[in-house]
Amino acid sequence: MRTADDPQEMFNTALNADSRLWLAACRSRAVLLAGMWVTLAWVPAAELPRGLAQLLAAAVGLLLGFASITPGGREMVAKAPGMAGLARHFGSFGRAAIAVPGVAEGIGAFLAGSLYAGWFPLTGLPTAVRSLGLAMAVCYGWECLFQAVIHPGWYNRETPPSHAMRVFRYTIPAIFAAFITFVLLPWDAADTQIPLLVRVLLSISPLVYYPLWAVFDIMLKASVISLRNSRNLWRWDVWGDAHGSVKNTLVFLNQYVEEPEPDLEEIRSLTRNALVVVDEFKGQLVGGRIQDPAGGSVEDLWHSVLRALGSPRRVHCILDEESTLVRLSATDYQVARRVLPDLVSNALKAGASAVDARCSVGGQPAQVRIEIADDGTGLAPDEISDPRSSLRMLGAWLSERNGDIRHSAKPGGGTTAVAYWRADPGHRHGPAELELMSQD
Amino acid sequence: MNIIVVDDHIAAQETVTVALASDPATKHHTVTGVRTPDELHRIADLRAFGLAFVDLDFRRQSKETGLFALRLLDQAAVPAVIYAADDEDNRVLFLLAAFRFYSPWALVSKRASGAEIRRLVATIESRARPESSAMHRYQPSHRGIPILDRLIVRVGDIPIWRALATQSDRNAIAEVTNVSRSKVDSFLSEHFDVVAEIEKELLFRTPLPPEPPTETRSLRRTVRAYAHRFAPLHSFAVEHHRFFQDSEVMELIKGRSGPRGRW
Repeated sequence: MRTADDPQEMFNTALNADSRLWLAACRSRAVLLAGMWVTLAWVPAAELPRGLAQLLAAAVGLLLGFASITPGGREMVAKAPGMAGLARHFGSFGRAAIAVPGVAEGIGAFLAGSLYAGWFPLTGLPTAVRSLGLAMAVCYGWECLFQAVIHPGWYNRETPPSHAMRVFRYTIPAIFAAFITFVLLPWDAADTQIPLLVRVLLSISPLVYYPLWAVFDIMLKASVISLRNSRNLWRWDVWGDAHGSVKNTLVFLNQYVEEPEPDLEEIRSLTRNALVVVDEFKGQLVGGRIQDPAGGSVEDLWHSVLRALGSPRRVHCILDEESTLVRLSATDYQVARRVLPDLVSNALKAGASAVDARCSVGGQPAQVRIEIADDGTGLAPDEISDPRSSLRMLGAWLSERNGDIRHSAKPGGGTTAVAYWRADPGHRHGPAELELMSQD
Repeated sequence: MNIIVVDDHIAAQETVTVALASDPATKHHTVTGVRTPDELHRIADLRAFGLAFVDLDFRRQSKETGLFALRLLDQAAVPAVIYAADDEDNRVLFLLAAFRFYSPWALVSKRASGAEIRRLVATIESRARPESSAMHRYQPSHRGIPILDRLIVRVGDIPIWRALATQSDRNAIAEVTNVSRSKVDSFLSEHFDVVAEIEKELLFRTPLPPEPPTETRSLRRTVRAYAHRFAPLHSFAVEHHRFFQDSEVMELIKGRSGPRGRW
């Protein structure tokens, strides 16, 4: 079972960072590559084809990098002739693995860099252009490899990298530094044009990976701690909400059950109410339903009632379209939450195959009116007259709010039940009526 | 007697209504209700009520808590009883504040039976204070400084309590509250004992381990003492963060009389 304490939170945070970092780095590399293309303007015509070819290879690597990170990019590459196999090796965010785009970009960086230094550099470049081009090529490769150093796969606890890979991670900056140093040795007369200081700085630049890696880890851990802190507060908030809605409802139900001679129908009604509250709470927790202090929507209530009662699919339950727009005050919403499940439940018990509901607020003084029409078998006279029947109990309960419940048989069969009560004056009519109410 | 129930659950109002209506001796009382403390503002003459049942926590129904309702009722001289479950640990500070700043007549559990509610109303109607053993735990002691006053010594403590709930690092707390790191350390040290007391005496939890000895002033000792205090106080702040966030608490502490200074 997945718990709120996710052991993969470091990995998940790294994943979220990685895709954004990769995209940003791809854009940055695109700028560097564009800069290298510009340096070709100083290349003698005889060497231009070679320069174009090597930078083209780097551009292909970069495009593969973009394709692997952009939505739909992988599919686009797969459509190209002979590229389907390549696209399968675009790497996985979940594991520290060798990915084709990364390798292609690395080769591209090497090819681009070898235009300016190494064993076969271009010969006709001015020193400043050569140094600048080399710096851009090293930066390009530097960015590619840094992605590997902070790859999310290093933080994956489910498929953790092997010990050898973890050791290798520590050696990446040193190996890369040694590699650049080796390539920048003065193999050719053109290489000696690059100032020694530039060559030294570029050679040791991969060692900057270590502090950057440390900073990345610190930021990652800080994000995770921040996430945990928020989650702890959230848990208490959720519990507070659960207590405020679900537990309190059950406490009142329990309190009633503990009374001498509790009525079974009232217990049923309170239980249905509690089931609706649980559904509402679920809606607030995972369904994006927002608790409105000013009250609630009849449509939301209707759906909660149907889910709470587990209305069979054979029954066609419809809320009138206009009623979906009705919003009730907090008090009236809670009254409706007692009334609606009882009426719908009665309709279902009567074997209805269609239940039509309607809710309105109107009149002077304002009244809330809920109407449920069904095509069930109808009520026996003794069910209506029995003082312990659920409907009589509901009627008595509504009478405390200047309301009642009425039944009538429909001409074509079935029953129409209408429950009504005085709307919450505090919300509908301001202080005057509440004052009246308090002095009743 | 007119009775008002301040509770986000209509069931609370109904419970009181049914309890009183089911006995001829208490049938004459009229019960009305509001869902949030803010709604008390809408009542033109609050003084018309002889008794109020007040819940403490209104969650998302209202930004205000029962402390706000108690203030309005106190201003209108309406006797109030706290109508809340005291079995929830995160209500404890609200209860301490209610009894520190107001004089509720009783603490009534939502599990109270109809008979208990009727007895309570009859006692208050006769202007006598009901015997409520549950509330003794939260009433400030006549000896020494009340627990709440030791928990929030000065107004400046509240931002630190708030930050302690959201941050788990002393530097971050110092940063967001604009105080020095040493001030955070001294806050932890100053409040460790009172938190331990609340945990033990009011929440019946295993007492926090005693403070490590501080005779050595080495850096390691200081770090250990900090780590020792931080975790329990952070957990405490998280659990009670709604209390520390309550603007009414801030107002009550600001208005608290006494020689205690402010930062």
